[in-house]
Formats: sequence, C-alpha cells, structure tokens
Amino acid sequence: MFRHIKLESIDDLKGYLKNHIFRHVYVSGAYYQYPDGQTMTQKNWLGMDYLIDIDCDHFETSCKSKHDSWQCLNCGKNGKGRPPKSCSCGSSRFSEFNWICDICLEQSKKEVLKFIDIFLPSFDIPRDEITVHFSGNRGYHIIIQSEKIRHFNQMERREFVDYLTGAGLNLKFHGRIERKKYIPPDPKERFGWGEYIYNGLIKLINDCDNGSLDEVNISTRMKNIIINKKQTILDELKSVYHSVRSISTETWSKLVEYVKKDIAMKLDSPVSIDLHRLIRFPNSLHGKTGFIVKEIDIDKLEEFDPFSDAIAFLENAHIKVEMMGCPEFRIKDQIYGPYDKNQKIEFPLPAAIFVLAKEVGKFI
Amino acid sequence: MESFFIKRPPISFINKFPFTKEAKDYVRIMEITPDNLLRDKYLINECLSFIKKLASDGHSSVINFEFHNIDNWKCYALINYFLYCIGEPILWSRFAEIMRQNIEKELGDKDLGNIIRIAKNTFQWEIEKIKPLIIRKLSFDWRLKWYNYINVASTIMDESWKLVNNYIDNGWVFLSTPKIRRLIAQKVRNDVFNKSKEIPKSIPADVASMISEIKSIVKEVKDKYEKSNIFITSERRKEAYPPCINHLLNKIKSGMNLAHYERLILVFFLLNIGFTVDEVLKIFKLQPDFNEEKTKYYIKHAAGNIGGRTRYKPYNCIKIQSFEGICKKNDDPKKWCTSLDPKKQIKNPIVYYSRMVWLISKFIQCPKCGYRLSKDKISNAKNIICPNCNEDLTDLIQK
Repeated sequence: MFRHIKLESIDDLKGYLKNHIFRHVYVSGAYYQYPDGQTMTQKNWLGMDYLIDIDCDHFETSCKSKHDSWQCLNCGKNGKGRPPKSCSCGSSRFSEFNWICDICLEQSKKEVLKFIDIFLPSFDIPRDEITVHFSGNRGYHIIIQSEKIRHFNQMERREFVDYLTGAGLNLKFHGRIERKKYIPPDPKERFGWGEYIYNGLIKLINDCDNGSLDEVNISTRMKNIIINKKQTILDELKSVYHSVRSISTETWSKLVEYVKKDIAMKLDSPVSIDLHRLIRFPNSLHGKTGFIVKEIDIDKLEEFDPFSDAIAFLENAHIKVEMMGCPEFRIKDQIYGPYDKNQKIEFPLPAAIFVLAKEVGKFI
Repeated sequence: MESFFIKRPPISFINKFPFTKEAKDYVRIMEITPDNLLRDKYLINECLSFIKKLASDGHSSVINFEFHNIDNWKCYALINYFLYCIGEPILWSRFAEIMRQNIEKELGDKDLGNIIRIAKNTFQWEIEKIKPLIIRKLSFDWRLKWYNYINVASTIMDESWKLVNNYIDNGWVFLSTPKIRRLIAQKVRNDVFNKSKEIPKSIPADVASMISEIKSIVKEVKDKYEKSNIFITSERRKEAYPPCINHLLNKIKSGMNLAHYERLILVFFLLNIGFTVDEVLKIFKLQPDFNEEKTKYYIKHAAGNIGGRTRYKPYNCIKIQSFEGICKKNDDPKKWCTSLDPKKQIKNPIVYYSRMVWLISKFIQCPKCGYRLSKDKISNAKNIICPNCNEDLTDLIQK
C-alpha cells in the first residue's frame, strides 16, 4: 500500500500511475496543509468534504437471496442470502460471497435520487457543489464540496447524517399525537421531516391501487377501505385543518411509520462522520470489477446504467477463463451465466475482466 | 434598524457580554494588556477568590458571585488569563457552565437587539428575525442557517435540539426566542471550554503562590474523585483481571503476535481501568512487530487524545465472544463468566474487574480452605486465625 503521497500536477499523477500498477486508487476526501506528512498531526488537517456512501450491502433487496451466500467459518454450514446473526453451531463468524445485479444497483441509485429530490431542497447546498459517482462496484458516492460544510467536526457531521437517516426522529415534533396515536402534520408544520412524511403519505395513498400498501403492516380490511375511499382520504389530507375520519389513528401511525422508514436514507454512516476518509479516485478502475468509478451528471442519473456506462474495455478482444462458479451477470446487453465450477468460457474483454476481478474465474 | 447595531455599544453591554467582539475591540482600542490588569491588586484578589471558590465548591457556588466595584469585563479578562496559567480543564469546564447560565439570564426575552448583535458580530451567524410563525401555540421568531445551528445544537444532548426534529426549509432552521438565547449561551460555553485545549501560559511571579494554592485545591478535588471511582484508581490490581484479559497478556508475555481485534480489546480495557498511554505502550513493546510511533498513535486515538476525541469503551462480552478463542469463561475461578444467575453474570470485562477489586479491598481469602474473611471484622489482634480451618493468616494480612 502506498500512502501519504502528494502529487502536484496531473502529469505527476499520470507518471505515478504508469510507473506503479495499482489495483485500487484512492484520493483523500480531507484537505491537508502537508498531504505528504507521515502522521495525521504532521499533515495538519484543514477540512473534509462531506461524503455519503451508498452501498447495496446496507439494505435488503429481493435479489440477495438469489446471488449472495455465506458459509460458517466454524462448522462449514452454508446458505443463500445474508448470513444469520449466529450459526446453529453458535459461531457468528462467516465468510460471505456478495454479487451485484441490476436490482441492487437500481436500489442504490434510488437512495441517491432520494437525497437529490427529497432532502436537498431543505438545505441550501448548490447543485454545483455536489458530485455523484458510481463507486465501480456496489453503489454510489455523493460528495459535497462546500466551504460551509468542509470544517464540520464529527458531531456536526453526525447530526447531518442523523437527519438523512432519520436517526433520533421523534414524530411528536412533526405531527399530532392523539390518544397515543400519530396524526400527520398540519400544513403549518410541513417543514423538513414533517413535509417528507406528509408528501410520502400522499404518494403512498395515491398509488394504493398499484399495491403500494402491500408492505405496510395493516389489515386487509383497512387496505380495502383505503383503496375504496382513496379520493376522500386524499381530500381530507389535503384540507387546511385536516381531520381524516376515514382511517383510524392506529392505521395512520402504521402508515406514517412505514413512510418514515421508506424515506430514511440507507447509507454507511461512519464514512460520513470520518474526518480522514479516502475515496476512490474518480475515473479510476474498481479493482473488484474493472468498472470505471464514474462521475455522473445529476440530471442524467436516472438513465445511468452502471453495467453499460461504466465499462472501460472494448469487446473486440476475447479471453478464455476457467470459472469457479458464479451467478448470472450482465455487461451491456449481454447476459452471462450462471456458471458452474470448472466451466471454461471465452469471454469478451469487459466480461473477462469482471469475472477475474471478482475472483470467480482464472486465466487459462 | 441596521444602523442601530453599527453604533458603538455602551459599556454596560461590554460588562454584560464580555466575550463579544465589541468587548475585544474595546480592550484593543483602550490598549489594555494583561500587564495593565495585573497592576490592580484588588482586581487580582477578587478574580483569584472567584477561581478558588470555583475550584473548591464547583460552579453552582459561584453562580451568584458578585464582583464589587469592578468592571465585569476586567474580571472576565483576568479570570481567563489565570485559567490559561493554571491549565486545568476542570476549571475551564466549570467556568464555561457559569458563563452559559449567566448569558441565558442576561439575554432577556425582549433583548432582540443584543441577540442579533451577538449572533452576527461575534459568531458571524446567518440569522434573521422573521414574522412570527405560530405552530402549536409556539412562536418561531427567528431563522438561522442550518450549519450555524448544528455547530451548537449538536453539543446539546436533548432530542428537541436534533436537526431532524426541527423545522428546516431551504437551509433555514426556524427557532423560538428562548431557543436562540440558549444557542447563544451554549456557543459561549463551548468557546470557553475549548480554551482548555490551548497550551497553559507561564505564571506571573506575583501571583505564583495563589495559583499554586488553587492548583493544590484542584488536585485535592481530583484525588477525591479518583478515590471514589474504582476504574480510575492508580492502584490497578492484576489479580483482578478477567480470564480473557489474562489470556491476552499471557500471549504477549510469551511473545506471540496479537491479532488486530485482540489488541483493541486489550487497549480499551487497560485505558478504561486507568492505564496511561505510555503504560499501555510498554505492554505492547514485546510484540514482534512493535513500532513505537505507530502503536502510540493508535493508543492515543483509543484514549481519545487525538482524532475524533472519543474515548472508547471496552468491548462487552458478546462482542468478545464473537471473536474466536478470546473468551476464556471456563477458566474463571469465580465462575462469574459462566453463571446463569443474572445478578452474577458478567456482561463486560470491566464489570468483572471492578467486582474483583471490590472483593479484594473488602475481604481476604484463606489460601487453605478458600474461606472469605471480611477485613472490617479483623481485629487488631496479633494473630489472625481462619475461623473455618484455623489456618494462621497473620502473615497474609501483613503482606
């Protein structure tokens, strides 16, 4: 590992990268007076960009049970999906196999869009101070390069991350509690989380015909009432001093709780709180996929396809690989796999680099 | 309205709020230096009496302390100067708390001009007085930029101050007048306390004896605290270590390399029972890959001396058990680690240690039959005999 390196120009960087073959390249998210100091004290910390790391490892997706697996390091028991808290043998040490697919990365992208569409309007952070990168593997990085935020200490950073994740949120500050049950906020209280919850409820009820209530823990009877009286409920909710009589307070509480969980961002909090974090160098290749760590135009984020837009290599060269077994994957429009152990496949270069970097295949 | 704030503030403002930019400007314009103030014996005596009381009786004893016939700003300046000389964080922290309470009291509900003046001039906050927004009978009269807000609110441990529980729109946080007052007072408190991180100043010869008296008072207070706190006592007892810690220490003694998480468990435990950074460092000297600079850096980090300034708590037993081969509960002679009785169960190595230290301090154990004899019940008799097996315990007690 090469650390504490200061390079003064792009040419120096190019020369350095040509002379050393690195699998991963990082840049400091922090600013130092002396970046090449060997200890943190010598470097003299000047500030740190605000980093938001969204990784599909931090939330549940339906695809994980299909392509991820685990093995107990004590008894060898294995299974699909995420490892349990502890194995039936009592051990809680597991080896994990994680994979990426369209579903995981789409879910990660939704978290970025949540930040842009829901949270950003509450803050006065200009768009040109925000960059979004595909991480090259399991998610996205949002980098806020703002003079106002750069000097945040860890407590301030934690406060901001708590806002995004809804940690410490008490609904009594954003609505009414009646008979220990929650009622959505009045129009006057629709700021910040009060506003997100209100808008989330409107959307949830608006989309109820399309199964949006399926994951909410309410009775089928209540679901039917909401679907049948949808317009009345929406009208009541939109009235100035709404008094929604169609739904019980208990159902409101459950709906709000669901919306709150849905809105809260799923991110890697320690990354945002850290004052010295390294981030992947933009436009470098991720050593575990061969994909480009690519900066994305925020306005084109929805159309961004990581399995196509972050491919670095041309497809005209082919490489023969002996597989060790892996789930299916997509590169551009081509679906590959799933593959069993010992299968010998000739892949186009981008797919070959992917399986080699993922260490599910070896050169022959 | 703005022109009102540009006017030079009256001396009463400077006396009420001696921490402000206006007060500092006044001191600069009047060319007042510590040397000027140190010529005033009466002022020195008043300030040192205040600090002495602060040291011995805590901040609540001086909250209504009155300085007679002296300008408050002079006292503030000189108290700061003396606190720099003494260099005791405990005094800074007590003084900071007094300042917080006083400022909150001084900023009345109708004192809007002073609120704006302090917030804008001294703290450079982006703040605006707004047309009152009434929500649930509460009047929100101010808006403050969110980055100014969390700078202070993140240090107040109450859920109503969390950003997530406040009204925010386009970067502005809406606040009531009492909340703005509290924010200003808290900001002063934080700024005063942060001065404790600065290097102490040299002590002027004239006041050296008084300052040394204050230092000895602080030492007495600290000693008293340490005696009442079993984890911070300097008298650490190796015989009280839980089996997992003994196992790790034995590994080190035998020259075996500890894994990263084993080092963390040991460092967090030792720091929490009162080991200093250098003492922990000495323990790790036997490690085959010992690098003094690196190890010291990590220990200091764990101790909260550098980095995030978080003093890490020791890992609990569940966490330790998640790492293979460290928990040695079956080696526990007391059987606490394996006990199913919730009252005896050990959830953290520190609990084991504190319970053992307490036992050792209260009882002696007969080496022959294991009978525990309360130290309180041992008379001044020359020969102490075990009541259970008649073993002579005199030598053991003397030892």
